[in-house]
Amino acid sequence: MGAPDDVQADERLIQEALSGADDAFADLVRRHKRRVFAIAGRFARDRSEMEDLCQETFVRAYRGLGKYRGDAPFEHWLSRIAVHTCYDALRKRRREEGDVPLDTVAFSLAARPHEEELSPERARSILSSAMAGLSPKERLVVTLLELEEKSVREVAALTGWSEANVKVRAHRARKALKRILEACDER
Amino acid sequence: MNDEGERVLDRLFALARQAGRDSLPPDGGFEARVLARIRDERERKDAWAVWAWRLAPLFLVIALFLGAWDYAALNVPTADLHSAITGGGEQEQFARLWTGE
Repeated sequence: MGAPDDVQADERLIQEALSGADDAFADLVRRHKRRVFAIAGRFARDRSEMEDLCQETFVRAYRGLGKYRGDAPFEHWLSRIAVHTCYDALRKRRREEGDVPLDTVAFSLAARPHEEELSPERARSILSSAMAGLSPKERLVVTLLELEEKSVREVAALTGWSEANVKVRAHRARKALKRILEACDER
Repeated sequence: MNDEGERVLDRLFALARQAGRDSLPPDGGFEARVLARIRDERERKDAWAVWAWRLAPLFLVIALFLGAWDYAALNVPTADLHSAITGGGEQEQFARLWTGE
């Protein structure tokens, strides 16, 4: 993706979709769903939530298609929508579940195995539990920077925050994660 | 746990990045489900527009009725002679003030 032919094909499909051709939009979904699923997969708790997030991303993209200016590739524009959709889901989850007390997070992590015995899946599960104690903004920034390995500039472009803001939030998130892990080590 | 904490955290992130992810799109039907949602939303929006058009004559009649009622209420001659005289005087003074006479 990103090659001139792909960009032209996207632009043609966008024009067709704007003139009412639903099949053209279906083609756009087919071409870009892999990237959207990859983003949503970092934030969703299960496959069902992942599909919901991806559907919501494409529905929002359809609604805003007329505002797409074409000054950046379509997939970048779509990625921004996907990130914002995931961020909204994190905020909604936080509203529904409330603040997760540090004790609860620490308790779920207390039985973690020794570092050398950690498997990648277990590490992911530990981080996921620890990240439940972060704010949605911190969680978003730490996921994009540390797990997706995006640069500060890329995260700033995806979220619409300034680079300084991204750095500050990343710093706070790491500090909070360390505090959570320390708390569980003290148990 | 400052440096140690950083190291543990980096190790956790590195391991978590290696973990396999089940984030592949479903084999089929996803596009159809997205389009179904879009069509559903579009139909709901259209239904609102249709109802707004259907109710427009009713709103127009209400607006005309309120306008006529307001006009009729303004032109009711007052029985209070004093307020009729001073009210007119106030209007005249106001007009003079604005026109600078």
